[in-house]
Amino acid sequence: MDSILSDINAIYGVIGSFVCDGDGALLAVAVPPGSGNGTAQGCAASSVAQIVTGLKSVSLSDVGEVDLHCSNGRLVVKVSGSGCLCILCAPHADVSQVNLTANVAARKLGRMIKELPKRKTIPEQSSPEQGPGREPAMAQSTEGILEKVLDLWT
Amino acid sequence: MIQELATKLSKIDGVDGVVIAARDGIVLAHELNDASPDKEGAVAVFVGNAASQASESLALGPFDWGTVTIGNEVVLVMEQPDYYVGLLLADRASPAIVASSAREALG
Repeated sequence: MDSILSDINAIYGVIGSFVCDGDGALLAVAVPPGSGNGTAQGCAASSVAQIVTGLKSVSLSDVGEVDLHCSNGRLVVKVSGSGCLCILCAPHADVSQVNLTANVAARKLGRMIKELPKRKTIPEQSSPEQGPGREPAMAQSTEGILEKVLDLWT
Repeated sequence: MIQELATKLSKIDGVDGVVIAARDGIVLAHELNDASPDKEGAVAVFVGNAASQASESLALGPFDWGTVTIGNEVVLVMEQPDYYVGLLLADRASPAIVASSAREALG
């Protein structure tokens, strides 16, 4: 997985990338120092997994891609099987090249995740500014919203 | 007023449908033909909320807009102070161009 992430990171404008499974557990990380620690990527992976799982529940269809544009960058998520390839890009990234490479990489990673004998995740590092209680609180918050939305829908 | 906004957004080239949903998931207005307003509203709110969390975690700055591909459908989500806007994109519509036009319409 690391070599695939290195190939992606070589694209112009790509800051870093990581892979998580359907539960939001990190499987591989290739993000340079200064772009967040393990906890930051863990929280983001958790949010990504919640988006994918939640949208599947709401729409009853498979989610193919999520592309989030923020003021300082962009997060491109390619969903493949039970895993997600998340690519952090600068605003000026070459998106067409990112998509070309990421679509192929996501398929490869999807197969790799499927073949994993046992979940092998990267333990998250805690940091002083992000305490251990932060992630469950975020998860509860999003799950609560999803529950309300699903209640309204049904 | 919100319904007028939905109607205005629905006239943007490349937009097939519009839903405006409050942050708690209540659909405030929509311009949808076949799609379910509650379902599309749920997608907009869910993506908007989770996107804000992800962007905060990764220090990407405030969430501006995003797209999600579900089956054959592409939904563009934009965040506003009190609600989320979901735009169902037509085939071959450019999310960036539609987002730019929608931003102008939203003022």
